[in-house]
Amino acid sequence: MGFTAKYMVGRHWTKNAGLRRMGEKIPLPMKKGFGTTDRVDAWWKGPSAMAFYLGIMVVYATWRGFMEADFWIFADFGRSAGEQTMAIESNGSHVLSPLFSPLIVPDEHSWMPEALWWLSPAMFILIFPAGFRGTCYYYRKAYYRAFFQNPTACAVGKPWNEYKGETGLLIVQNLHRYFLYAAIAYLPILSFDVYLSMRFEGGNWGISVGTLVLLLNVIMLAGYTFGCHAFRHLVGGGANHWTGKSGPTLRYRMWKMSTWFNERHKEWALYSLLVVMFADFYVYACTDAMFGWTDYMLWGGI
Amino acid sequence: MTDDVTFRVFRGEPDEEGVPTGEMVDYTVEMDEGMVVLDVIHRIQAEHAPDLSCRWNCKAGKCGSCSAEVNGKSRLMCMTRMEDIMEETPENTPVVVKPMQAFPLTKDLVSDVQWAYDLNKTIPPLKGPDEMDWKFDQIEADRVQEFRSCIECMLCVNTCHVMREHQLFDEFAGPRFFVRLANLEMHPMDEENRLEMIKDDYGIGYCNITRCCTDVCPAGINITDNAIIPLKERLVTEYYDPIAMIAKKIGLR
Repeated sequence: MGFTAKYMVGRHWTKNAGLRRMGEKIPLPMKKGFGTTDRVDAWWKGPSAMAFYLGIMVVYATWRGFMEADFWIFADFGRSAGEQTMAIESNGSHVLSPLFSPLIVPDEHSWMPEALWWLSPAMFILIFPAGFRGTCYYYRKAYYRAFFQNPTACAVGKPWNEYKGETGLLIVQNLHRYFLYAAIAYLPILSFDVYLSMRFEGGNWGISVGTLVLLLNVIMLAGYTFGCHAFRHLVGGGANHWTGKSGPTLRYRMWKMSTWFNERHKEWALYSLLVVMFADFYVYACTDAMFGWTDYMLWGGI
Repeated sequence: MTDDVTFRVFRGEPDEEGVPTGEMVDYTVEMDEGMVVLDVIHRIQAEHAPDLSCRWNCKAGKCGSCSAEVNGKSRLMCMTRMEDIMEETPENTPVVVKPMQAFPLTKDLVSDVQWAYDLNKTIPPLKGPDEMDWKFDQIEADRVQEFRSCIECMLCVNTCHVMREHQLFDEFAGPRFFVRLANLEMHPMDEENRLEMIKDDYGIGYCNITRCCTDVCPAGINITDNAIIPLKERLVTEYYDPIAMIAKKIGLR
């Protein structure tokens, strides 16, 4: 009735049959091919919005990373022109952008060989947070859907016939926990940056808007890190026994805590990314004349 | 007026070669307030097509029999309210109802899920101490209790792209059986180790955690976060984490 298109059916019914032409009877019309589905809701909205959001974040971070490099077009502004946009310096305090923390500037004062001095300070430290997010169980879902169409949405036809999942090259995703270790190490480093933003010349203390931005950044990243599936496994999920002589063990309590964050892992993942990028943009806008923002002091700092 | 609803239902059977063959047939029936999709199917049976086959039993979302694809989504017909369906269906468009298409067809809306029964038998059951005075704490029971609410409707398997698009029924156990495996592996009294089977025979590596199974689960089991990913993490410790593997070699683990 009314079906004129050709349909393919799943492999295990069709060992000898192949594609059938429409006659009086049609094969069960399982739609095959990219984007084909019986769904009537706006299934394409989610993956499209995600591709847009992640795309902007990746482009922005890449651009900001390169801005502080010392070669070619980047020689005319930013770090090489003597106008770094990595940190707001004021009266001895530093509001350091999280994209450049811990700050390792490759120059004559560093341990780097001269051949690497052109590199931006963001380039070697961003590998770890980028790897953490790249192997994250939430982001994997997001980009397998949004970028790799594998699948684009549930019960929607894929453009691929071959599939290996995470058994082939993507077996490296199993090293997520090593990026987790690095991400945990970033938390005290970024907390120290909050401290540095409050220390002024002559031992004075102060709080600026930048301090609060950095503090929010640490809180968001901590929430994201503590809900990590690998973290949840390592602190307690790997055990089957959670009771000791005096009730629930520490492992159980840690697992329970991590579960609370884990249930909102998607939100922590997406919002913490936005906050990191905003924190960087705040520093950028306060240090670049093009934006001309001012990092207002809220208290002390003189 | 127009409280009528039109359903476009798959009618057919496998032909001699096993290829599901049939047609999409439109039926229009009156709709009453509070109906679910299964009620409409029953009304179609009563008024138009007494030979329309569908499987159902409890009509309460507990038996897992009436799984089908309604407007392209895997759902239990008895738990899908018509008011929600009418809201999502564009006007003057029929509601499309098909059987679970990842599985072979039996007839009309009935799919053959024999695969599930066969695969289930290959999973080593719970093996605990012979003495049946098992004691464990409620907090340990709670975690595996979630997995026991599975009603085996196979909606998760049907929507999983590994099964649906690639038909890897021989290589991959599918979400339902990772739920069962998680239930066994995380059981505080269990002494069996199924990790190697989970990696090699049940092919958990094919899962790329895109969460379609969790989205459709009518029992509300958090399949991806609580069953599949924790199993994947246990496999990492056993087979992919170099430090954990060395620790095991020298007896630290």
